Amino acid sequence: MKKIDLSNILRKFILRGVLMGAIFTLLVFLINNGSTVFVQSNSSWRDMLYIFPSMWLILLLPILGGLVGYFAAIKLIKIIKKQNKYLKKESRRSERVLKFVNNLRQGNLNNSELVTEKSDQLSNSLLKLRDYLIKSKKEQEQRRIEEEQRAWGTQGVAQFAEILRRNNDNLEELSFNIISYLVNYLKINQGGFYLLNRNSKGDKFFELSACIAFDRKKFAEKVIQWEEGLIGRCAIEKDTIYMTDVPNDYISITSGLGETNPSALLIVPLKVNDEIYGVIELASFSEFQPFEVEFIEKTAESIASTISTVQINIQTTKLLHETQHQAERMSQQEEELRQNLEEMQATQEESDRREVEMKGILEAIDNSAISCEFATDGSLISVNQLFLSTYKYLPEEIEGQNLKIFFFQDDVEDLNKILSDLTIGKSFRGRVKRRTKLGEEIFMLTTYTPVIDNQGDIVKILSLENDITEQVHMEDQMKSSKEELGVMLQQARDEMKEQFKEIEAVKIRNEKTLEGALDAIITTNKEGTLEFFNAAAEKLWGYERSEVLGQHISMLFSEEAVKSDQFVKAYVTTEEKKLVGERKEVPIKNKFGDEIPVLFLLSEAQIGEDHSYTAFIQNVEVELF
Amino acid sequence: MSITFKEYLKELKKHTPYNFCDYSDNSIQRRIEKVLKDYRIGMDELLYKTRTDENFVEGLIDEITVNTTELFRNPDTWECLYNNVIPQLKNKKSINIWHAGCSTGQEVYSNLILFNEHNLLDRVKVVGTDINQKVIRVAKNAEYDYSFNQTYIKAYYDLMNKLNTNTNRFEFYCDIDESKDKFKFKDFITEKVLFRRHDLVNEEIPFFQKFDIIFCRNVLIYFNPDLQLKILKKFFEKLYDGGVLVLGSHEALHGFLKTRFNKNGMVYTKSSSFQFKYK
Repeated sequence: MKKIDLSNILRKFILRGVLMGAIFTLLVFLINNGSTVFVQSNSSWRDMLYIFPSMWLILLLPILGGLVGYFAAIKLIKIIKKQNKYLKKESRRSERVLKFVNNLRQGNLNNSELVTEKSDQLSNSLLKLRDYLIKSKKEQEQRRIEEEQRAWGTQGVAQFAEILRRNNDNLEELSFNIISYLVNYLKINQGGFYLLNRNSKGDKFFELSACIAFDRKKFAEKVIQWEEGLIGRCAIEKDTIYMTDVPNDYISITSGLGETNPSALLIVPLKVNDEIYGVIELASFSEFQPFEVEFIEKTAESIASTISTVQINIQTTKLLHETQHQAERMSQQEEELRQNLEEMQATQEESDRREVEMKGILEAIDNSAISCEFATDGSLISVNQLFLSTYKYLPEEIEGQNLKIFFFQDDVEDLNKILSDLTIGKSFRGRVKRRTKLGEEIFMLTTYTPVIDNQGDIVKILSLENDITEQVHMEDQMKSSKEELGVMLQQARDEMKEQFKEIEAVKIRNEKTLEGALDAIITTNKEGTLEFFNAAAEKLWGYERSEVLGQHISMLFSEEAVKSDQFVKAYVTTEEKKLVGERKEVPIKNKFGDEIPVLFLLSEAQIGEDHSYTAFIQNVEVELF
Repeated sequence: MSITFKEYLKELKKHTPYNFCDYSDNSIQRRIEKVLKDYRIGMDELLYKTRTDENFVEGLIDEITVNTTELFRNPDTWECLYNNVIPQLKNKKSINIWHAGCSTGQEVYSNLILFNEHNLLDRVKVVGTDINQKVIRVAKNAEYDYSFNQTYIKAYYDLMNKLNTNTNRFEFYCDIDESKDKFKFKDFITEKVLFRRHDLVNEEIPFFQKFDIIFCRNVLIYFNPDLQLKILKKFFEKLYDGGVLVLGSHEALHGFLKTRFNKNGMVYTKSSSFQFKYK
């Protein structure tokens, strides 16, 4: 369209130029034609060319006009084109500005961009507006985030305060609630609560009193000494430690699926008034935001002050309990003491009772026995009345004296021995000879008993004595009469011995005689045991004497003879009456079993109850020779 | 005072199972006076309460009886037991021991410790009796104040160091809880003992078996001499020949019983010769 317009313009301008040129030429001709001179000349127009050569130039005018028109048109077209271009440009810009403004309106700040020229003030101010908008939006956002964080913190603190308020008597529960709340609220993974404790020696150490997601095994070992590890460092520096580069073996978060190292570790001291009460250790897979750290730090102070309160509470409760306990125990102990006292008193009374008994016994002793007490060196401590009367001293004479004044000079050695025995605790008992003041000899049955105290030391020695002088004298008398009797008895015994000797000699003589007799002679006692067997008998029977002595008489006869022969039967048995004093021929059996007829003469001898039978035997066969 | 304490004791005997008539006059009088003072009551009121209030009587028994006892009281006695008495029981299959008037049981456990040191713990059978229900409960529980008993625990070490060098720590026998200030004898000790309430004065002796050792320490001092004799006769009958009676360090036998026992250091041994002569 515009092109067509433009060529139209060109055409119109050329046309108009040509036309104008033609008209001008025509006019020039007409004017020239009308000029009086010319008319007078009566010349044609051709003449005019001739007259006025410049008319040739005039004739060129339409062409010239066309050219002028053309150039003018070109010029115009150029201008129009230029104008068109400008207009187009202007409209594009308007469009962009519109879009930009729309974008701004929609809040689409970052995506909107405007290409501007330096001179384009509108755009520049629009851009400035945009930048301002962006800035203010950013600020708003910042404010919102800050507001949110503040709200988060405030809410946390409020909820936290509730927890702190609720648990004020149990540190374990409190610390668990705190750490579990922190872990949940911060949406982190692991937390440990270390309470500062003191052992009985007063050494400080940290105790893992509660934890979330700690490895169980680790939990058991989690007692950390003061100044030990990161926890210790945190407590000593009293400052938060934040680490994003956690050593591999420091801590690990264990879940059902495995275990990993946390990427951030935050250790916060629980301090209030510059006093450390514990340390909180938090571990997370994501890093901690500064406001979170701030929150934890802020709560740490509340925790510390709560712990301090709780500890004071616990301490107070404990003290209260202790006081009550103490009071109870005091009353219990008082009762025990009272009972002890009662027991002592009862014991005392029991002792008193026994003392009365003892007193009786002592009095009885005092009345019946001669008693005195003396020290281990023999010096007298006290004596009783009987003592004085027995030893014939006056009380004042005896005071401070030594026991040895009652001893005869020869016996003083004995006293020293007795005293040394007593010093080692040995008591003495025996019959002793003592000397009275008058030098008389008296006899005492004495016991010296050391009195030993609880420490085992000898306090004194108690002497109890009985006067046995009369007894001793009587005994002496009896002894002398006994001695007389003894002499007599000895004489009688000697006489008897003499007689025995004689009897023995006679007996031996007799036996010798019997032994030497030609007849065999045997003697038996009433039981029939052989007691004598002479040489002739040995020969007759063929037995050695040793073979038959102590044996029964029946061995010297055959069994048939014992049964059939009346004499033999009576002789070998104990019951039957033996045939005494009659010579009888009977068979005997010798060692080799042969029966030999012999003549038997039996004689009986009775000494008291004892019977013995002596048989004189002659060999019949010998008589025959 | 409207009635004398002797009349009161008669009333007590009439209305309750308790008979304190033959207790040593001085002692029982002091105890009753103490009760009156503690309760701030007069004799009449005491009598009234005795007749009507059973619980009061139980409390009264606790107040009247004296329950003093301690671990290893009078070390001489324990030394004698350890050196002379226990070794003689080594060949017995079972060793019967009776603590008459055991109070809160410290002596029972002291004795068991000695037996354990001799490695005879598995052979002992121990009974502990007391008139006071409350102390029996304490004895069964076997738990005592720790700090209060420190001196006695020291006495244990002193004694043991004297007896033999290779001795168990006290902790071997007890669980010590310092925070609660308590210590408790361990089961292997306590399970050896049977505690029961028994009134030595008025009730028959409830055991059929005879005993090798009877402890009756600081009990007789509260009785008058006749009652003492009566109780001692019971002990005599309940002891094996050669059995041992352990009395308090200030107590002694008297009367004819003196001849039926041989004093053997700190303890009395039942002599068997008497049996042959008089039975």
